[in-house]
Amino acid sequence: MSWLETLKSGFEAIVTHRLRSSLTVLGILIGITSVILTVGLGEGAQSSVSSAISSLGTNLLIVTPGNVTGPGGVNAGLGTASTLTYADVAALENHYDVPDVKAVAPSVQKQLNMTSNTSNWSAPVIGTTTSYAQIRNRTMAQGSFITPQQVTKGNNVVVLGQTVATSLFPNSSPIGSNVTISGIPFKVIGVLASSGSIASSNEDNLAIVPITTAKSELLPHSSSNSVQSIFLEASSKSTLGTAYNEANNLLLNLHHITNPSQADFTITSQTNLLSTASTITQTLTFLLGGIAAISLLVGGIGVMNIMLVSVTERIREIGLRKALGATPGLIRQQFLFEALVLGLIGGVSGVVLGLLLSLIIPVLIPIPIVISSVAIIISVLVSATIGVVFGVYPASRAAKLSPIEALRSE
Amino acid sequence: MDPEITQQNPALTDSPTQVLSPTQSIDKTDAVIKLNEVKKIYKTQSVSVEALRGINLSISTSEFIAIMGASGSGKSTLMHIMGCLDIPTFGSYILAGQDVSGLNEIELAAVRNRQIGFVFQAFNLLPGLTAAKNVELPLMYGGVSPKERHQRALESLEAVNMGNRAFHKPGELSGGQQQRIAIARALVTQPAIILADEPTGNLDSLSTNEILDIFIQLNNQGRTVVLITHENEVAAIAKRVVHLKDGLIISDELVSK
Repeated sequence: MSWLETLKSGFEAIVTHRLRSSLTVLGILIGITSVILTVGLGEGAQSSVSSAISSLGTNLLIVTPGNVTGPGGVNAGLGTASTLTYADVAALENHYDVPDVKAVAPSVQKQLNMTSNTSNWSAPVIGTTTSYAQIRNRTMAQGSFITPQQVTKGNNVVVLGQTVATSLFPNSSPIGSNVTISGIPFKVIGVLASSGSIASSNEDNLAIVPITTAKSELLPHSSSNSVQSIFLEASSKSTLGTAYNEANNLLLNLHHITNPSQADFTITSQTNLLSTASTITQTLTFLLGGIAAISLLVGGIGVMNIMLVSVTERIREIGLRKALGATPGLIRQQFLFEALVLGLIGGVSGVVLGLLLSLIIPVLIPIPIVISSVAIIISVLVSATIGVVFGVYPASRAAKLSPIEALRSE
Repeated sequence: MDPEITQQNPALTDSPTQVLSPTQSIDKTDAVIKLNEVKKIYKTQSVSVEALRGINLSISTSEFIAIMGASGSGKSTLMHIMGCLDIPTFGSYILAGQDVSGLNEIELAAVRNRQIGFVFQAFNLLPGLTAAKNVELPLMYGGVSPKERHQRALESLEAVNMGNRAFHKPGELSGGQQQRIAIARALVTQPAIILADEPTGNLDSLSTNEILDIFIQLNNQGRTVVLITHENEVAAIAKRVVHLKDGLIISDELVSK
């Protein structure tokens, strides 16, 4: 008796008991669908987070003052000390010392109130230079970004983020209008295009002014020479590491620090952010996947339950097959195949349902679902394995039945 | 399986003819079944029941034998042992020249497949399969190719006049027709014996006569038929009748026709 024939007879037995088989299959189907969807959601979240982080700027390095642990284990408070200066910015702009840093943008930032003729709003105001747009991957929806001349002269010009522009100028184009920030009038020269990422909507709620204007007009009490953070762009993705090292060594030298662990600044790269974010999303995926796996286990127990019922119900059939010359091995094989087919049907239909839902769900709620072929293959294998694993016990019971007892039962 | 049983059997089968009962009147040279001092003891936790207490029986090729007895006489146990569904606790059983009293489960399955054609009281057809597929079952376990299987199943159905019902399912057929299919299934492997256990127990008198006629025909064609029954009318068609009581043969006589 060939494997194909055993498979066929398993399939026939399943078709004969349609309702019961489909209820069993449902357990596996729900399990596989939920595994596929949760893993898909996890991967979707991961890709949307990483694209959000990439949208902050490609090959971005951020230098911030202070260090997480200062000398002697005292917390220096990340970003509070004002240890970064224009001298640092000038040194980082020197391509001889830091050849892999392509662009540098110092910045200062403060949450301020701003008013137009019709409305008022509160948003972070960023004082920076022309390179900011390039480094942070920002493009213009209207008008233009601040120019080097405007930075040098300290003109009162402002570029608005999408959220700020629509809040202050709900009905008209803001270009050429005046905005009053902290009581000082600024002329709107441009509006940033939306950063387009759901995970970084804050990137649209900001206003950008020349750093010189910001320091003289908006932050009059800050030290004239200090900056809050410096954005660096590495020349390419592959040089991100060397750019990091060059900037780090340069700043250590400038600040006369010999022990790197006592640095009074911190350089963050998007790689750090990415790995942190992916750790979080991975944990989530594991958690959800674990819950889905439990439902799969329940489905497997369902298969076992039904197979045991099937063995009891078909006890005469088993007796007859044995009387006609079926060996215990063949009987075991028959029931194992039946369980395997149940598992496979559940697995394949679970994958199909999962794929359908992965197309429907993103239409209803804004969550991306990424289904990988690996997830599909693994799901089908897992469902087949579940069928076999939970089929072993019922199949052995069938194989061990004495033909006399089996034939005698009514 | 009890290892003691397998160890004891070779010693018993060395000279089986010596323990034959002198009362046996049938020619043994051509015997297809030889039971020598077969005992079967069922042990439960507290009691052990001796279902067969020393059966000596020899059945020749082409015989038509009926085994009779009241319930509890041991005829079912004897049928199980003759059908290789069970093995004797003591004694030896030689079927078609092979000692089968010490075989294991897998070997017994092969012997059942090749040598025994079962006909049961309840027909025991698989409801999901067509008549032809039901008849093919033993050939499938015997490793016959699908094509030959189908051919032989059709021939076998033809032999019991069921050729025109080959593609019906058992549920669409009468009891008598179902039992004919079961007989076709028993015939299809060309077994050494056809072992029918109360084959007419579930049938009306008309169907009973049809089925009994088939057994007579089969025997006329030279097949060995063993009929287990408690009904005198059924046993009356056999050429030899053996009566069992309390696990022993109490009479063994040829019926003159």
